[in-house]
Amino acid sequence: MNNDLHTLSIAEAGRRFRQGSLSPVTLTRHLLDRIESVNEALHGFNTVTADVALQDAERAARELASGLDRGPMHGIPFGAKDIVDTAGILTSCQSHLMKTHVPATDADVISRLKAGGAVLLGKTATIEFATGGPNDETFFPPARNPWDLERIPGGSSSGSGASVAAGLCRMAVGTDTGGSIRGPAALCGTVGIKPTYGRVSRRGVHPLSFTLDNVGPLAATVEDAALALACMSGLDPLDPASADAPVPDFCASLHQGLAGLRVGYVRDWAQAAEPEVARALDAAAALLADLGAIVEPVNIPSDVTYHACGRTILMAECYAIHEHNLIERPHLYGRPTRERLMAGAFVRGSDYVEAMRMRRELSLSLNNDVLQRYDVLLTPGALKPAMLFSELADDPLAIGGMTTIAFNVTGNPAMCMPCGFSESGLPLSMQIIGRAFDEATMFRLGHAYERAAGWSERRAPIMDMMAAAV
Amino acid sequence: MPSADLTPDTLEREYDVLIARSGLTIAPDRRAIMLKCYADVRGWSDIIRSTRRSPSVEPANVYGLQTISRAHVKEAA
Repeated sequence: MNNDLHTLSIAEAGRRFRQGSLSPVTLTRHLLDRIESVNEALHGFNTVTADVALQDAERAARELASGLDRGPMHGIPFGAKDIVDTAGILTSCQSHLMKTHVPATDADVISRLKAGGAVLLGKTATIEFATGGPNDETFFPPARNPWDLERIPGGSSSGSGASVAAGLCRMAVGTDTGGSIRGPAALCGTVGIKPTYGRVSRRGVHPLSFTLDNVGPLAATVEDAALALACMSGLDPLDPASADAPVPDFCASLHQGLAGLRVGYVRDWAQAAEPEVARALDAAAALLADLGAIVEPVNIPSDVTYHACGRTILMAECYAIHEHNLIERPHLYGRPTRERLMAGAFVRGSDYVEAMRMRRELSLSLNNDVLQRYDVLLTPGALKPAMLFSELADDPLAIGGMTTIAFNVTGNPAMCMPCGFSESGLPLSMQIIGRAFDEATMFRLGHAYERAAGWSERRAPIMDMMAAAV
Repeated sequence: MPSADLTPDTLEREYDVLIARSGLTIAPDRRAIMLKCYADVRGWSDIIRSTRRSPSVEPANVYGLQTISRAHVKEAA
């Protein structure tokens, strides 16, 4: 009778909690059972904290029954990427270097979710230190793609994307420095949002690149992502990059429709995409126009330009963070991560400064010009569907066809979501970019598209296969 | 010097100097792939330097949200 609980949206689960027809304990048990059944093949979770999760779910059930309502995430189970500190729980960064790291305190984002009554199920797999590629040299095995276990789920919030798409949780915390939330969302067929830089505190998250790192949710639907982000957002005086910006009700405009909304379609960026991705993106743009949006082609600098700028900054900053260990204990890194980090030694000081100057130009151009004419932009997310593990390149700097780092460079919010499926049945994705601190308009557009297109109704095979088993 | 003007020998010499200066240890069988990485980073440097910037384009305040991402919000308001 309860075999489909893992497909409930956060909003629907919350409604049932408050009606008394579903308990957070029942939902949490169901998801823990699914993790036990599925995780050996999927490797979405590194660490499962079942006992604590059930205690938290029982507390949430008692509170809701007594009339204490902490908001939309109350009683909702979630996972957290294994570079996000969780008090008393191993936070391994997927690395032998951190295999005994048990933080004393929660990251700010975890504190906020717990204060909102959310139930932590455990820690989701990542790429080692959120960089490099999936490999078998890391402390935990790499996560796999729920649509085809022989394929990569994207990175570095790989376990977060895989777990949401496999129905192990409806929301998972991810981090995004060059596309690490949006990549797994794109390849696993979920929604993933990198909010505006400063929107969500980075305190307690192992840094990869100080000026590019962001924290955000991966979720099954746009509404779920909006509900989760609202709980995660807000000023943290202890994060030097945290923004003192109001956190609006991201769901308030979800149902307003798209009439008159101005969408700049960066179609040039799709030229590098596989044809079925470009066709899906054209179809998405046409559907948005049918829904009332004003969709126009727009040109912005080439993704190659943003890529050069962003990766120069990223390489320099992550090298500064890891330099000591790269010299003293390089053998404790998996080779792909070690070599990608080491390439940061090739960036000169003047390269970094020039990249930062260029970043300022790119950011001001996008925000003061292009996004004055358009409410949102539309670009491809991933340029191709998920590749096989066996197709991974032996190149430490290869990133596999993502067009995401541009908006880490500019600081704008950006969201990847499904826009179709390949002939082989793999998710295809589009990316929506918003004005700074205007995630609400992105959610509005994404929600309208999601309901009209219906892609979120399609389930990864593992969703139903394991539903019968548990 | 732009990457396009470099000879393979010059590229290798630059690479060797940077590796020696860094104190990193690269396995001999990974030299070729790391040399390619160096060429890629060099290529990014070319792109970054393809535009001449005035002295006023400076990054000291790039960390400040007011300038990197919220300037237009204030201006619009």
